[in-house]
Amino acid sequence: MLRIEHLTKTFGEKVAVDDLSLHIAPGEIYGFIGHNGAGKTTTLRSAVGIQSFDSGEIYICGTSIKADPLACKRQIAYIPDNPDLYEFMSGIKYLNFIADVFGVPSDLRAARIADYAARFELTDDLAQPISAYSHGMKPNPSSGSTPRPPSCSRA
Amino acid sequence: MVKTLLKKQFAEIFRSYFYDTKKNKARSKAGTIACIALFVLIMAGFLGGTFGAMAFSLCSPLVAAGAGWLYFAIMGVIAILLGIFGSVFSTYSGLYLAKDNDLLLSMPIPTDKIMFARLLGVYLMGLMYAAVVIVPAVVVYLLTVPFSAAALIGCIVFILLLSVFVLTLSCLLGWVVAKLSLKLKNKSMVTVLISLVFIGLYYFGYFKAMDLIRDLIANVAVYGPTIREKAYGVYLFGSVGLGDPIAIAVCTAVVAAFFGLMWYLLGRSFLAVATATGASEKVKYTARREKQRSAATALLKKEFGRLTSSANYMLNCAMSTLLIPILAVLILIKGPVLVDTLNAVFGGTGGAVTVLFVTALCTASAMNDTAAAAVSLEGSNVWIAQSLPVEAWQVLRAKLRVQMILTMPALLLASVCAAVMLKAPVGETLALLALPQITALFFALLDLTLDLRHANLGWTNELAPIKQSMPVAVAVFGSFGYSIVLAGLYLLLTPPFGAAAYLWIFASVTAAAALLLYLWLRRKGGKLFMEL
Repeated sequence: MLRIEHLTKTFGEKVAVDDLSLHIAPGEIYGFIGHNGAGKTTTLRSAVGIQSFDSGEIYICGTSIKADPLACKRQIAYIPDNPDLYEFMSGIKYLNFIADVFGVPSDLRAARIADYAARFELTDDLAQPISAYSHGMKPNPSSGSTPRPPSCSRA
Repeated sequence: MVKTLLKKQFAEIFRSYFYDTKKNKARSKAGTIACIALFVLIMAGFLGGTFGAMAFSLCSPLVAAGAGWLYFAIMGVIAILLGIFGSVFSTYSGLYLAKDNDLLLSMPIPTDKIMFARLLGVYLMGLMYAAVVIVPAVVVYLLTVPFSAAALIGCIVFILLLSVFVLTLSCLLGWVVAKLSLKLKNKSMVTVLISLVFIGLYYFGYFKAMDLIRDLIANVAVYGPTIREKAYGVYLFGSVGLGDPIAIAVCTAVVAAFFGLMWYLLGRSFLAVATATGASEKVKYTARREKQRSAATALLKKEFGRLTSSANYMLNCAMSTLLIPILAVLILIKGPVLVDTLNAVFGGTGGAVTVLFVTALCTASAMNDTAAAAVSLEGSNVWIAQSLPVEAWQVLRAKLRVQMILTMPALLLASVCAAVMLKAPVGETLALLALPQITALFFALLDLTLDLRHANLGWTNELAPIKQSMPVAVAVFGSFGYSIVLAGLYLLLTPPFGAAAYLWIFASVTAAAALLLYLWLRRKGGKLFMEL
């Protein structure tokens, strides 16, 4: 599902990620552990296509993120460590915005929003502005906005 | 304890002189000195000079008419207004809604000590602004009247009482602003409307006050005794500056009583206001089927959502949307009179009136500059747009479209009104319709390009990208420069080929520049956005 081959990323003279290779299969839960500055976030940001890298390759479901970043981005969801979301939107507006961008049809999105909101106990708060959400609630709309459960399916 | 808090308070107030928040590093010694020198120049040189000149014009006639108390009353009221204007928002943000309120309140520090340190900061801010008026006023007075100990003491007491009174009023108004802002959280449209009403009232009050002061000076013999009789408090307030012992005693007692009351009320409510979150009434969610939109529409809707969520953004970057239709109406009503005046001045230069109207419209169009802050306003949320499965250009185009939608239809309306009113030749009329549109497009592209190249995503207060950034400054001053060149070249050169050809040449040059910016944004802009 995610294959990283010889990833190297530098910031000026600092080598943030040095020749990293790994392969994560579908259904696998993979955790990154490392000291500060080890390159965990850099690797993740490169893998989701929001940061370029110097050398190596990253494949999402067999597609190179360098060659076709949009196709890769359609397959994955990214939740950063800081829950920075559009605070001016309500939870439901944010979910609909993401659904529009990912091209999720109306009926399907309604069903998914109902399902995930119930799972995250967010249903009653969907109309609230995200700025009113507690710190712990903020990643939830992010998680719920995953267009589909992560798996390798061609868009 | 208080000393430590004061040190922190002063470091916070004067931080911008020593630390560049945009570059996130300490300023150089020269930079700090330049910042302080600029501030002193503006406060003491410009503002102090203006009020000093005003004091010179008021002092002699009023003192000669035996109404020195009226001089102090007038200057005192101006000082109070300026002091409050300067410190009320720092009271709001520094006393009631300071970011570190939670941190300090969680420490073993008595609440009244936190309050005292914060109040001292507010006092200094109020004193600084009030001093710009009252210090020149006092100096001018002491130079005008023969020196006496009573006058000197009166002036010193006047400054002290006035500054404490400003502090008291600032605390009261700061509390009102804090309460209002919590009530109006997520109600930015209401905030915009309230702000517009206040701006309107301010200008109305300003012009009325100037007339009133002129009238007072001209008829001081009539108004002086009347005010003294009907508003004795004002007379006493002004008499403090003259060193009148009774006025000093009464005013000191009144100011002390107000300050004591404020301290008591603040002590009771400080904790509640400082820790208020402004939680609004919960909105009930009702599930409903949402129509599926295209990604481009979703991005545009998101940009409009960002704009309408922020009163600051709307007031600073989108006011022309409201002002241009007003300009259109004014063109129809007052246009003919203005045309007569312009013809009288530039009668010899054919087509000058059309060129000047086009210039006015172009200037108005460039005052909308949402795109100059749109990229920076992504702030820490930029990862969302970057991780979406859309081309970066689509994100940028949505930002561009907001400015165009806000500006171009309103501008077309104003251009049509100007065309109807001017009844210029066909070539000039077409240029009148086209050039402002092309200019609006050019400035939208320029604003976006500048913000993309100089994006500030690390802001902690959204006013930094909205008001204090280089792209916004260039957007505003660049439009002035554009207008000066547009009108100035025509009036200086009076080209033999006429106004229509001149305007079309200018339109072509602007369109070519806009095309270059568009191509750069399409080819390089997206990549740059992804690397932010």
